[in-house]
Amino acid sequence: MTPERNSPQVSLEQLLRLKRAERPAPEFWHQFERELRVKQLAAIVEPRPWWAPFIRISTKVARYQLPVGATAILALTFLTVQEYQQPNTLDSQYSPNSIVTKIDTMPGPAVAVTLPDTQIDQVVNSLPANASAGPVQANHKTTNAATGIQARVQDVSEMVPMLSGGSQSEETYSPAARVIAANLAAVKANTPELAQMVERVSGMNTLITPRAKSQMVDPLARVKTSTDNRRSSRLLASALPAVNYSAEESSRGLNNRVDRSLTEERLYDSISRFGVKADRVAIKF
Amino acid sequence: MDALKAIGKTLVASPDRQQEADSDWDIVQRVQAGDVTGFDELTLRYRGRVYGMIYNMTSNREDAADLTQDAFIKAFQSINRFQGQSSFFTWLYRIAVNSTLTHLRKNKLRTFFSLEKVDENDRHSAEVIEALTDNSGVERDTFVKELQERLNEAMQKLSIKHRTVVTLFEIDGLGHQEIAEIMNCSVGTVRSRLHYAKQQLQSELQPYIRK
Repeated sequence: MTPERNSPQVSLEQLLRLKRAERPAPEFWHQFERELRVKQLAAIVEPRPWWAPFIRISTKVARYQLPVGATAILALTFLTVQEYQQPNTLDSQYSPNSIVTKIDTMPGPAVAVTLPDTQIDQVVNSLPANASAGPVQANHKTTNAATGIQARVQDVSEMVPMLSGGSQSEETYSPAARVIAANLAAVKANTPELAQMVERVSGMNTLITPRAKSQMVDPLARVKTSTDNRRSSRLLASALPAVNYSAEESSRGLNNRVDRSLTEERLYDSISRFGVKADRVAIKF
Repeated sequence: MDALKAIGKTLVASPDRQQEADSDWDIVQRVQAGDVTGFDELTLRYRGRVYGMIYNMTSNREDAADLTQDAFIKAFQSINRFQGQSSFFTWLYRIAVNSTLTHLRKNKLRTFFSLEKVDENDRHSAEVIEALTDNSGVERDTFVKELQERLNEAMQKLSIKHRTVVTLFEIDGLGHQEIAEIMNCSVGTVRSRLHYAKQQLQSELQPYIRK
């Protein structure tokens, strides 16, 4: 029911202030007072929950959530960047240069010593000035450190194609590279454990030259076949005649039998029975 | 600390309020010192206003009574942490408003009116009712009841935040600064909310309002 007059005469503010007049009766306050007293006493007696201080602390901390969050993100970013940088420094330690140095300084029957001093001198004279200060220089104990570092870098760059079996012939490689390759091969032959370790480090298996490989002796090949083994073989052969077939012979026989039993037509037919379509394999019987 | 107290006190609008705030602070200090009866004085002083504010926001007298009691209990429990950075009235209102907002958010879908009777002895309300019923030819009591219902419906159609601002500004007569302090927002936000809420109320209460 709205007022029937055409123009009502109160403003919104006046209308809203009408709500101020919505007041409870005085009796209401008596009851209110009583209930409040009961609740107040209950609040005094009732122990506060153990998490109440945490809520208060979290409310205080919540004010600083933005700077704390920003700091945490920054710290995380810094740590992550640092974490990614560390593997790079480790990789640099595993450069071929360092491996060569390690092998060179290792005690053991390295083949490097097989080159006589006269040969080394010849090689050094034949090399350019900078290149002469490589691992060979270690034998001559030259003290020029700066040129040594430069030369070592150059030597490694020269050596890498040779070790990795590049297209260049072995004669074009520097003597230092050849010495190191021979060293490596010898180490591999004499101490297989170390060789395995080196292989694991940087796939050095592929770095060994054919000539070095030819010098290598397989440790297993050194183990002579004992007469006991032959005897046991003979005994086994007599006991089990079927075992006399070598693996090659048996596989050859099997192939012949298959060839005989399968005509070409049947072979094609059997092939066409298998079909591969998108995500399914069809077999015809 | 003293500087903060001074700022808090200067934010209180009128000299009467200032006097009231000083008096409140004295009582609070007494309560903090262990004189619990002092809190009864504060309850007696503010229960009507707090109840009125909560009632105008909820439009339910039972809920308003419960929430008012809860607000006073919370204030009593936390009075030792009150440091006088704002006036006690502002602090108490903030507690009451927060309790009410939590209650309204929890019971968003449940709107049940339980209205108080309009006190027609109040001069202002009598004038308004007189102006509206004059020459209208409708029965006064019926008209007042319907007007009250329409008013409360329009208030309940506002969002909780807009309703709070309208209640505090238009019905309780608080200043923008005080409302901003109570609602923990800027004065600009208060003004904008008030403007929007008034627009909405005007469209809802169009038949009663002078253009």
